[in-house]
Amino acid sequence: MLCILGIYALTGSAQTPQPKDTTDAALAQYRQMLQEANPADLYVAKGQALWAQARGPKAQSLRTCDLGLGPGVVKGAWVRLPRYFSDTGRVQDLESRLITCMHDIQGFDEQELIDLDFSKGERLTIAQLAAYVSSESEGMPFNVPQTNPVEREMYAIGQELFYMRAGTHDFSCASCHTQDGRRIRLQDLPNLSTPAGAGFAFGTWPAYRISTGSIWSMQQRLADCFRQQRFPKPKFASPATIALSVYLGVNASGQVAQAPGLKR
Amino acid sequence: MFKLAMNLLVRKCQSSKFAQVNTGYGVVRAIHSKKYLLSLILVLAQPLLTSCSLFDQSVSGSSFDSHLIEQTHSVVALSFEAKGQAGLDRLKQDRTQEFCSTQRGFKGSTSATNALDPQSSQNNSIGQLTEQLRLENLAMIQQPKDGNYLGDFKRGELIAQDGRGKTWTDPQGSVNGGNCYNCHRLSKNEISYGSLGPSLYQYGKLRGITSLDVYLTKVKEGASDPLIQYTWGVLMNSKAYDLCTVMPRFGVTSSASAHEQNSPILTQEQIKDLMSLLLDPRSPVND
Repeated sequence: MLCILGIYALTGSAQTPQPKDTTDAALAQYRQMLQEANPADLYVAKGQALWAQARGPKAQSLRTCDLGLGPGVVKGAWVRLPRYFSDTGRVQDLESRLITCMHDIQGFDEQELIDLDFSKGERLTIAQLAAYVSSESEGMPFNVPQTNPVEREMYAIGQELFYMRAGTHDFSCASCHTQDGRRIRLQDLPNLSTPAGAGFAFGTWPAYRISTGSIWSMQQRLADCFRQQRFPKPKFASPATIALSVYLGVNASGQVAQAPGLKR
Repeated sequence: MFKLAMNLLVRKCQSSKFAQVNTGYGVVRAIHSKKYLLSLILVLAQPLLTSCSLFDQSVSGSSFDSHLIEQTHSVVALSFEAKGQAGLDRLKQDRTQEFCSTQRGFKGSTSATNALDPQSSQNNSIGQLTEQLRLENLAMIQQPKDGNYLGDFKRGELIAQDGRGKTWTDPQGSVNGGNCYNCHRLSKNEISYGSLGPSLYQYGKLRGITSLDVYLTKVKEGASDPLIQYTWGVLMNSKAYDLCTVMPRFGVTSSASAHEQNSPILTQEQIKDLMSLLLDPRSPVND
């Protein structure tokens, strides 16, 4: 809605239909204006403080959390996630890895974290931590590993899920996200099968969403995609959403990380 | 099951791309053993499907592997939960959904005129399968009981604008929208339209409905008019015309789930209103 108001404000004409290129240019201008003061930066600062703060039943900070590059290494970790972790024996994305650290180091109950609603309580903490961790890879190219056979299989499963048509509307992810330059209403649809499209989508979440006035993580973004796909709800940090993240992250190889982003 | 059959075939032709490793998601593999047997029967019943090269042509960008399909089923089984009206049974695919999951080119029609053409008659097994499934979808289309195919274009416009319905946040039993503007341009004055589908602006006018007289004649002819028949068919079940189109099947139930079999996305009355939105010369679409 804000988006549409923005176009009207910028074009100065709410009555005359605009040609497509004018509409796109107006949208791009509107986004750029907002990007200069992205509210997501507040969440990055909050996440950074939470990372260093002694919290949870064990009153520990996350400074020893291993995001894949060794205990406590945050810089560059996000562009190499999801990846296989030998201590948990599975492929984890940033958010599921944060849950592991919050459980192992701080003593939080893993299942409780998974069962919470998005943007509430400790799940808001996870989103804020994700905003911070992702910001520490800003400008770096994606390099999601495919060295481990489990990582390769998760990519293949993610691809299957991407093309899986089901539900009342026969939709798959691919229904909307396999062509360049298409829109839903005025919303651009990235082509997630290409490096540029996957880089734009995977590389800009977590993001501040203007329409909801909150920070959204990749897991939340994927869950809402499935909602609009008319699928049942994916569980938080489920193997399906992690597999899809592997698919997107690997497709985004070489693309530059820009998170946290700013979205409609 | 259907997909597994195809995958078994392809597997004979291609070496497995992905090593069989334990991802921890193989827990429900045993459940699928019965499906293998059924799949083999299906394979034997479809001797024309056995050409490897045909699959190579039509299935792009991915190596199909029955083990991978099982792993994916396992991941799906572990990952989703029912919420609101969106039950887990929505993940059960019908034959069309299974088949179209393997057809990985973009299947949106680029123009509404092209969609009028019958399914491209590929002289190969995939083509035959496509045709078989398309006819299954064609058989699902019901004609209006009163023989009247048209409604009110003003109501149609509201249905076209409304994108609600069938998600886990929509109340069960609430009226669903048609979501038309999400993908199509329709009326001249609505600039917020998507571009996944072809423009439907002047749909009726471009197809010869240039006056109210012509329109009223078509209304009278009803099912015997090809344009009425086609437009009704596409709105009811788009898959009867272009099997793997991204357009939902609005008037029939696409889900294999039992409890939704009598609950298509739109009612026949709503589809009649959309018919008028597209065909009535007084509709903003034909402005």
